[in-house]
Amino acid sequence: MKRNRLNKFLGITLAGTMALGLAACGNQNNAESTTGSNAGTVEQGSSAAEESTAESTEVVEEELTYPLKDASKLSMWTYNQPPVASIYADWTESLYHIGLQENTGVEVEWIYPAAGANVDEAYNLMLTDEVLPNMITNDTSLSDALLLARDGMIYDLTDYLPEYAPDYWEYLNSDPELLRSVKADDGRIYGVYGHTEGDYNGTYIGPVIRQDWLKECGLDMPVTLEDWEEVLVAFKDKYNAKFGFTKKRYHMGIASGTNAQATIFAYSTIDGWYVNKDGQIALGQMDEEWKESLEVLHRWYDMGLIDQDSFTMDDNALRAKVLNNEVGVSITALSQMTNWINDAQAQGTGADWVGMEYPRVAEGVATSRIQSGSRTSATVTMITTTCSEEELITALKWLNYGFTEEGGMYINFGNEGETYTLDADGNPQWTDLIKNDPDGVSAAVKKYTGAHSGVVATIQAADLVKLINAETSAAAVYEWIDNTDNSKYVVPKLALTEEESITYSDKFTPISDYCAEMALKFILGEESLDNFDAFIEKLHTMGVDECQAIQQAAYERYLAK
Amino acid sequence: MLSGKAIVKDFKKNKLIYLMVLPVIIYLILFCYKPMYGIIIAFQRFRPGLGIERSPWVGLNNFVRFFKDIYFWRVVKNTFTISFLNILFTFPAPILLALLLNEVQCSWFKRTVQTVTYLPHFIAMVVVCGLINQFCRSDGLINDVIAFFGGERANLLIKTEMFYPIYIISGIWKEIGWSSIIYLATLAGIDQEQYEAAKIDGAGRIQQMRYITLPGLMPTISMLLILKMGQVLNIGMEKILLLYHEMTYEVADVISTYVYRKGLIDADYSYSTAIGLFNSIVNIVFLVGANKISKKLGQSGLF
Repeated sequence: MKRNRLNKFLGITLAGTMALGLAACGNQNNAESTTGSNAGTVEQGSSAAEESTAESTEVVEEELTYPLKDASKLSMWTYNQPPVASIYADWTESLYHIGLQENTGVEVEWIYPAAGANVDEAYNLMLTDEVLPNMITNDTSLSDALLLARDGMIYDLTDYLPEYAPDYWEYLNSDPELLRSVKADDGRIYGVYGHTEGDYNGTYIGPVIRQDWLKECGLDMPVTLEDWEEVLVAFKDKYNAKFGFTKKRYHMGIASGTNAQATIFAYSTIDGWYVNKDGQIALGQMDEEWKESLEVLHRWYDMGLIDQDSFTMDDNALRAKVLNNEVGVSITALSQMTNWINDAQAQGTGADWVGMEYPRVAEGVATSRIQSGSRTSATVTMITTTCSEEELITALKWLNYGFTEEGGMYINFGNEGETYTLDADGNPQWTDLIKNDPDGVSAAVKKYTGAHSGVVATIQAADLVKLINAETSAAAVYEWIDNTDNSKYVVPKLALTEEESITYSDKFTPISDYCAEMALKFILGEESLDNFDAFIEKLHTMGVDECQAIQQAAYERYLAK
Repeated sequence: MLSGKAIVKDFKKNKLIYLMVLPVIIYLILFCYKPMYGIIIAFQRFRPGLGIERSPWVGLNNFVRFFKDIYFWRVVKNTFTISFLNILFTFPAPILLALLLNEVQCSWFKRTVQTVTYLPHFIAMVVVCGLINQFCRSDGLINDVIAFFGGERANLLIKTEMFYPIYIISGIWKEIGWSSIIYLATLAGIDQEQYEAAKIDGAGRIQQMRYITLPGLMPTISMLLILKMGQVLNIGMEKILLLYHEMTYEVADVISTYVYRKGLIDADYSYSTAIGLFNSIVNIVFLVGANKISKKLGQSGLF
């Protein structure tokens, strides 16, 4: 009897647990997180929306010298990769982080998501914490930043920038395009962005090929899609090697992401919004050209030219295949290409990987789409309202460091004389400390510098990209960015209004899921391309037109900005 | 019914047992009852900056959105499919193993089998899925076997029809040994005299299993089955997340993975909480239903 009672009791509690466990997950009591919001709201009311570039000259420039004295201690959450786990237990041991603290005089406590965690997940969970960190670095869109500011979570920085981040302010004002790209819909600036020196840094993914095999087969560098097919067939027949890639680097239109855009190259469409030939915002997946590009990929898949494992592999698995001579053509990132080149040298396989142009629809036409990025990256550091005014100012001064000449060099290359020296032309070169590091050059760069993987609040130098990659990889970028019409089709960073942003995310998430699924089905032949019209029809019923209207409106506002 | 006096008496008598259950109760209060307050956000459009107090109230809007969601039927269908496949195949497997092991006389063989079968339980899910991924690749182990017998190499994880077999078989492999422990323990508790009596009456092996072993196991089986029914919509999302991708969403996307993508990746906190709540209500219905049925059939119920 006794046992039965215990059983019953346990049973009821267990049942309750199971039932409620799911409902309860993922929420937090947020009472505290709103306490700092007063400061934020005062901010928003305090200034007129219009500010002119002339303002920067009116500001009495106080001498801003580093290291700062008596600076407050700050905390920073960042989605960027933590320092190399194999070398350091955490950032407190990282030479770069220690040096940054010495140079700026600001003690920053870095918070990274757990290794291997999904960063979106980590970010969204972090936002519901009771006490936020002082600064947050993430890929947050202009409209999401606007929402955070409206809710009183982050500061509006517009009025503080000229005085407390003068170098950043000066940089933004050096080009109207830059200033436009960092302003939210209300014309305010809510964060300090990561920037790059130019197009060279923005493009880091592109087609690569085994040049040694190409020569052995007596073929020329492929230019059009027909050439590509010829080369792929030849490689398959002779070496049983295929077109292999990973979804992270080239996802064939399967998922939209800001970084690894899929271009079913040659065509002007892209997986997502682009500016079409009439200057209107259009969804790539709805174009006739998209269908054509899917036909090409489906044909290649049917002919066995595409490695099936490309859809499930990660970079390491692909690297093994490459070393194993199973891949002849790929679309990959510079860092991976550098790995392959180093592997080939170490193992003496004789593989000669070089970059090649994105394919063209026909000879004599420029390439249409390439993977590219603007000078303003998606990475932004926002300052939360957990900061007092004094802490806010320290944070801005600290963020400004990356845009001073000295700070920019430190974050990109480390300390002069220690990790790099300037050669006769004024270009930085690694010293022996980096070159002869027992962990290898790429690990050494991660020990001493901060702009190598991901663009933090600084201007990433083109020289850095050249220095951390193999020479042939660095040269590949020019193959990719020369002779392209890409910029005609690129949608700039758009800022949606609060209302638009809510409707848009409701509607567009299922649409993008659906497009991703269907793209893969069309390519693998699970769904016949004859059903392409039905696919378009479904997109209409899902509300794609409403999304298009929102994007179009935001684009028009951008042009008028 | 128990009187207050009886409870006090029972408490005095079994204080140690009550002490043992204390940590569990604290755990339940902290992690299951305290957060229940947060269910409120299922009826709001929750914004972290505004918190529960100030987020706008939207009533049942999130539920309506879910029922109208174009993926509603798909995720519900997939969830039930996987759940029932689990009950059909994964659930009886350890019972079968326990029955077979029970018949084995050679003790070192029995122990070896037991150890070997429950080892996979201790491998982390991420590692198991990593292995599955490798084995299913077009140049993986399974394809080596297929190719050896003259079949065509193909990546198995991009085929929708292969998803359930891969999911179920790997699930059985991982948990069969571990789950059989409870049955083996029950079997050890069956009175040996019954077997002896049966033997004298001329019952064979099969008949002993049918009339003594299985009835002896029945209470355990029905209890575990009822518990299982209460979790019919709770499919471990970890494994699916690690194995599925766009190509297999059609058969593999279940409620929990959808909640994860919506709530944590797309930051639609309220929406996913609403779905989670819906999930729990369906679970309760199933739990209570299964319990009723079990009682009707003369088996023991949970409550």
